[in-house]
Amino acid sequence: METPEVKKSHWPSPIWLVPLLSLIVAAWLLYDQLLQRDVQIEISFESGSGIKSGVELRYRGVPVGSVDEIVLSEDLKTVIVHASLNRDAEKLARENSKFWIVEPELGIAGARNLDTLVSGKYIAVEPGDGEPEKEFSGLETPPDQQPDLGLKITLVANQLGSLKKGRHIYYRDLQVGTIGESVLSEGSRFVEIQAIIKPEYSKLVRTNSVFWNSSGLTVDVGLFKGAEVQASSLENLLRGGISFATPPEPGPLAEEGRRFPLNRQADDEWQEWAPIMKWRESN
Amino acid sequence: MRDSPHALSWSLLVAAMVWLIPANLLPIMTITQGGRSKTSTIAEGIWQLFEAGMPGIAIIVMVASLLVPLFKVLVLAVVYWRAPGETDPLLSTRAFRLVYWIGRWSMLDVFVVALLAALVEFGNLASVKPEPGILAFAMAVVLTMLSAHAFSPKQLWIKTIPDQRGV
Repeated sequence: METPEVKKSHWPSPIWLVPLLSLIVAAWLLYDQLLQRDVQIEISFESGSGIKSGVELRYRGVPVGSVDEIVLSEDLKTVIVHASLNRDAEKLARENSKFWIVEPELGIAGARNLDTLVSGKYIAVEPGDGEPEKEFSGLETPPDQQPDLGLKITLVANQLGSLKKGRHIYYRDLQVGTIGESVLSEGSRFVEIQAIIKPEYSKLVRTNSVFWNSSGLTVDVGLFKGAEVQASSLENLLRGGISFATPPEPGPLAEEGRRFPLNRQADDEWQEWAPIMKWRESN
Repeated sequence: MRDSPHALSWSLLVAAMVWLIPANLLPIMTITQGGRSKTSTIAEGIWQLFEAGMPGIAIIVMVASLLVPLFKVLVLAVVYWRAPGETDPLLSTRAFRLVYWIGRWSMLDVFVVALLAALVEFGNLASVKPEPGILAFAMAVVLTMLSAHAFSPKQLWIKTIPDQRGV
């Protein structure tokens, strides 16, 4: 009687591929989910209106993350936005990074961020330069309207007029600064307007500079010369702003906190002043 | 183990064990409620139930989702391990039958997540989204069931049949 030949394979049964494959896929899944997880950050805002979970975080217009959850702070004074930042955008979360809510701005002088009317608000990011960080305090206004840096001077005026916070300061119709908070003077006789000149233009302000409210429209009607209409840029006319000029013999640099009177309108002469001031040179 | 007649059962069981790790470490679902999203693993879900003041349900979920899958895998491992020289075939058979019987109920978690994901879909108001952990859980459950199915409990009784001894 023939006996069947028994062959022993040196290889393990191919069914062992199942656990092997499982091991590879499960390990990849773990790696992908745990190590590649989005970076969690916390941003505190004074108000979270229009922000809900799922709202995007954008940098240069490109989505880099989204809001997970919004909670109130312990003292109910701020809202804390928990957001996750995509792994590849991790570098955006570092010290001095700026976060602000972008919302539509409509005004007679122009409209901004109209896309947010349709797509809803979003949170914009501006990367900082420090160490990686997880907790941030958000800005209430975009950084370009954020009058933090620069030469701070005080303008004293009889009336505030339309010089609201965030309006611009012009030198030769070029924006060189921003108007900050306004307060009444001690005796309530004047309004004190804080003006912030961008650091790069601070050398243009001298002790003998003159400031005037350039928001108005000056109409001068005379019998023989006809009507003369004077206004700076149309935007300025509509939104209100402050212009300044420095006499042909510029005085020493204006120091921080210096007070200047704010004239209601410009003298013709001021507009022609054209002193040479090297604003670009560094200290 | 290579020469074991249970190679198929063993390999599927090992695969199930492998899948149990991501099943317990990864989130199984994301619940969005009133604008708040919460992504939780099995253990986190149990803890949330405890904190929400529902210890009864928490214990049920812990037993059904955390302990039973582990228990099944461990019991099968012991049964397979002892099978070649089983001295107490009755006990082993009972344990095996128990695990085999539980098997049909094990997809409950997956079923719950699948149902919730399909039914609770009200955008930001409330929605449930499955996460990769539930996939790993389903893999572990299916592989455990297949492993048990591939095993023949008759093997446990070989030693008790005199004719077959030594074959």
